[in-house]
Amino acid sequence: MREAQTRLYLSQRSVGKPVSEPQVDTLQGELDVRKRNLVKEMKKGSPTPELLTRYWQAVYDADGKKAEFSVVVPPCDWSEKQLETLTAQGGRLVFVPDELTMPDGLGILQRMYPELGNFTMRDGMLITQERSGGGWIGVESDIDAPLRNSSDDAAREIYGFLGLQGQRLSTYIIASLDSWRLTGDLFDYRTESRLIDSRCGEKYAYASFPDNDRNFLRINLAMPGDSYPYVGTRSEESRPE
Amino acid sequence: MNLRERASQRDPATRQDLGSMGGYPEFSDQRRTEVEVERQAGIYQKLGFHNHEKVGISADRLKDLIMGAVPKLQEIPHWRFDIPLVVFGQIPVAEQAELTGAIYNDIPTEERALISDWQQDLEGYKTPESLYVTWIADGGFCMGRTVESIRKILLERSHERRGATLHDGMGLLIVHPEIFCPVLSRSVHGVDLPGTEVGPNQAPSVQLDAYGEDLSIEVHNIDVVNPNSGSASCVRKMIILPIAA
Repeated sequence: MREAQTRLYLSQRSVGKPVSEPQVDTLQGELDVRKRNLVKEMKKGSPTPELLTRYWQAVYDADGKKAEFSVVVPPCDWSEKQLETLTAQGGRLVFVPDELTMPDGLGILQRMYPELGNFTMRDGMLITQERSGGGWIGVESDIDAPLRNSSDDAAREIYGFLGLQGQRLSTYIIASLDSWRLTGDLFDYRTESRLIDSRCGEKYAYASFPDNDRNFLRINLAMPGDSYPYVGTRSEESRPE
Repeated sequence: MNLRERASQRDPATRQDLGSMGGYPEFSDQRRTEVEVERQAGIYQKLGFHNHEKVGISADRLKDLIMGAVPKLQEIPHWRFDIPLVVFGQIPVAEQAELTGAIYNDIPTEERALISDWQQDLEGYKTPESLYVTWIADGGFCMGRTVESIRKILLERSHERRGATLHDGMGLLIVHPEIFCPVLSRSVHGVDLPGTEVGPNQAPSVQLDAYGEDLSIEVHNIDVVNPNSGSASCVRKMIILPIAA
């Protein structure tokens, strides 16, 4: 009986009868595999500028395809010595394409990572990023928000001294997902990060992944000047001179 | 009371976790500054700094002198992350270390001869040989940055801030050992002192061991990257407190 069923199945296949097989987007699959292989290389630590360039190109090739967004990642312009210093400072290098810092950049990110939920609007208003322009950007790799329990003004004083700038929401999302790929943890599942260069009206955007889950990026809004023990501020650093 | 015991004392009003990871207190009003300066004056009294031959005044007089500086100190523009700091510029750091009761590991003799205030400071800062009060940032947010890179920034902002010196660093360790002591602080770090040089290519840092008992001054090259250490800086202005006989 079983043998007869098998013969019938094979005969149906051979004449092109419908057989339920999963439809696979071969190109997307290849891009995902390439990204996964480069993530493995990155996890070994101390990435070279060349590896960083290949890794970020693979990330945008694989993740951007879903949003029909493509970018050519330029060669990483940080030297190995500068990368070593950034790592010693507790930082990590990410690549943020210019397009993702423009007014419609958050919309592109939304399409690339729909699982994050709607993070482009709050209170019926669009979240805006104070600056445009991307590139190779140094960010803190701390899972918990740095500079906690201090005001936005206090953070600005430090950033002014060290030549840093406030982190934007697009950088936060890109860096947090990078952290998830490389360490298994998203940013701020115990804390919250004030993003002083991303606002909704007069209020700052406060971002966190409270469940350490990519399916829930929480954006809160609060007026400048507030400080809380569990709220910190994140920065962006351009390549040092 | 040794450094470790003092590091374990916690007063929520003034002793929040210091350092970039734990958050900073902000001394935005005079009352908070008064409480903190009074606490520091009390520490120096207990350690007997008033009896040192270069001070030679009563404990009460020392406290009055220090507390009298608070209103002027509060008027000096400072960062929200700055901590008020009382420093005895007239007492050599080795003698201050001995007064703390900690085991002290001094800089080797050949390097000690090279110690001076940072000679490239654009305002020609010299450590005053007297008691002074100033504002200091402990360097927690500069961890992993080289002394060389911080000095470069200080050259651009020399009218505003100066690198903390060996005397500032010793003062910070005496009044805030918890910054250095990993037993009780999440934000522990060594403090690099860009305002002091040990020859042209080296700078000192102040370190305290895990138990708060072993105090040392280490010397390292200014281009060395140390993820556990950050450069401290002070506001340029200070209140000098001359001790009348």
